[in-house]
Amino acid sequence: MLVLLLAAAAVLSLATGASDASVAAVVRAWVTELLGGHADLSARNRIIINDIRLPRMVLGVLVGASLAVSGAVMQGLFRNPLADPGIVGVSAGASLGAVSVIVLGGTVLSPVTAFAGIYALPFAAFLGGLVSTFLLYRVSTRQGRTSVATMLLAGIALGALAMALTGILIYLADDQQLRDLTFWNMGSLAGATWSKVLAAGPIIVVVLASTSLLASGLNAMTLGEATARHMGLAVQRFKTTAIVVVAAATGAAVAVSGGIGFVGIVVPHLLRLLIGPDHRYLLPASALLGASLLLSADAVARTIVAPAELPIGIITAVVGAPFFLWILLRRRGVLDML
Amino acid sequence: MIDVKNTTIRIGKKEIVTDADFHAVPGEITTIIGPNGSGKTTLLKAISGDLAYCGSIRLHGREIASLLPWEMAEMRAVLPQSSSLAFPFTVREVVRFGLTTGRSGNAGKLSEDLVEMALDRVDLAGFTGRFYQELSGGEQQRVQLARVLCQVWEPVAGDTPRYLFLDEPISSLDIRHQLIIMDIARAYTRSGGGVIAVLHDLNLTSMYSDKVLVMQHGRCQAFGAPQDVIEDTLLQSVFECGLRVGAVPAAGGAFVLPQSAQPSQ
Repeated sequence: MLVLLLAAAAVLSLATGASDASVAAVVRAWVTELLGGHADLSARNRIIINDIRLPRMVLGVLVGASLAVSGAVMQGLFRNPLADPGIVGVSAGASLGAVSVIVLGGTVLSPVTAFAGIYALPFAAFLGGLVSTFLLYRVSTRQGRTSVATMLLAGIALGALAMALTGILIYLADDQQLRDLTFWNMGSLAGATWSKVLAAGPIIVVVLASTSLLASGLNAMTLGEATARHMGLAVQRFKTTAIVVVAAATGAAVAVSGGIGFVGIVVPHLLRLLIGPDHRYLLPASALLGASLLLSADAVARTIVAPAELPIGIITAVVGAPFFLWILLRRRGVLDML
Repeated sequence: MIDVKNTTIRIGKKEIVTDADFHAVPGEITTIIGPNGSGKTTLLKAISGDLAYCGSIRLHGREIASLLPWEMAEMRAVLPQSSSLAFPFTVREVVRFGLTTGRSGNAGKLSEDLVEMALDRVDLAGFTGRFYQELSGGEQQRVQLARVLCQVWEPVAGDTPRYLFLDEPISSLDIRHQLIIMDIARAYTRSGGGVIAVLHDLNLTSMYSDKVLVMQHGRCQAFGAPQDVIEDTLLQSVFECGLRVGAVPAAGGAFVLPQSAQPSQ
């Protein structure tokens, strides 16, 4: 059912936009050309579909899936439904990494950018996310127990620090760099290109595939670290892997789309209500629903004020923030006990 | 067997257990008793592989610090004093965790059957579909025991006896279920497995234990058969309380001992 939903969202994503290019016409053209015929498709529409909407759709799927899955993994790791890379400062750390490359890429970090090419940006975002997640876990977890209050407070502090450092970098940036930086503040799939898909795609695909190995460990961790170890889980190695996975997924997503919030918290929570908390099903379902949700939000973002478009981060926040408050309200009693 | 020699355990800078010495052989229930804060749970945690220690703790001849988590998981299962569950899992899912993460080696038994059998054994038949968090404390404790039983269902795997480590397994149970759980432990040892349990109830300790370890201020004060250990002088000094073994209370007050319970049904 989620697969169908994603397919529908994908078609919607291809079909909507400021231009009236028709998907049906393009698909017809693809099929005709595949069969060796000559398609009658205007060059303009072909470019709009093939080079603008299609990469945007693919990027939307990748980013949506990785945001939702990194949220689900992080919630499992911290044993708390409120953990989300966007809320506890991991995305801010990843942004700091990405902004460093944009601003310092031509000067201090030029050897890095020369060496890593298009992967420098996602890699730097990954490093930023990794450092944040690791610090967060170290600060908020003591003797296998994670304190929610400490986690949220530490996340706020880490996020603020990362944003302050990002602010310093933005202050140093020149005009061209500022243009590049603007979209980080809002989060957007606009400007999706095939090269962005190539830069982030492999990382995200590897991460999504590897989460299937984390599922049973995350299940065991819901009983606490000690019990997970008693049941045979190599807890330390597992935590390290999970942290790297979260950082890689968040870093790759942030590198190509900026800070899109709330997908990582809304999607897993909704799915736990629908299909239960078993991570073996929760993780793949999160990927599918996250992708669908982001594609839909993107479709709304580019049509609601057409021909201009809203940053997608605004759409996800408008939907996600009230949802987050609703979770807090429902869990208020439980939170007080932790 | 489990062999603890000259074991000292520190948490931070504080020495919690000093020079512990005892052993637990398969086929026996070894009970650890002692006042609050005497180091019982800390000692059990170290034996479970949760804490660093000085000295030696051997499980079947191998130092546990050198064993991998899954190797330990094949040889022993641990029931913690209290468990919290992060997400709303059902009873069936919680019990099944005992099967999925440990390499339980319960060949020949379908896992779904095992879940049902384990729940049946802890007197929770029919609870499979319920949400864990909706259960009472005592019921949750028994669900956890069912999970633990699933992990090491066969008391002997190959020719290696396995162990149950139970930290206050009956602390929140009514007396009927206390007896049921202690009977499970006894049956486990009768079939060749070993049990180490931390208990507070001295009557049940004397009823079910084969060996008793008495702890006070982090030290082992006595280790031996219950009839040798549960006696006035030792109990009075360890529990700092004027206990008298076998003394019938002055006429008037009712007293109920688990020892006098008739076998039911």
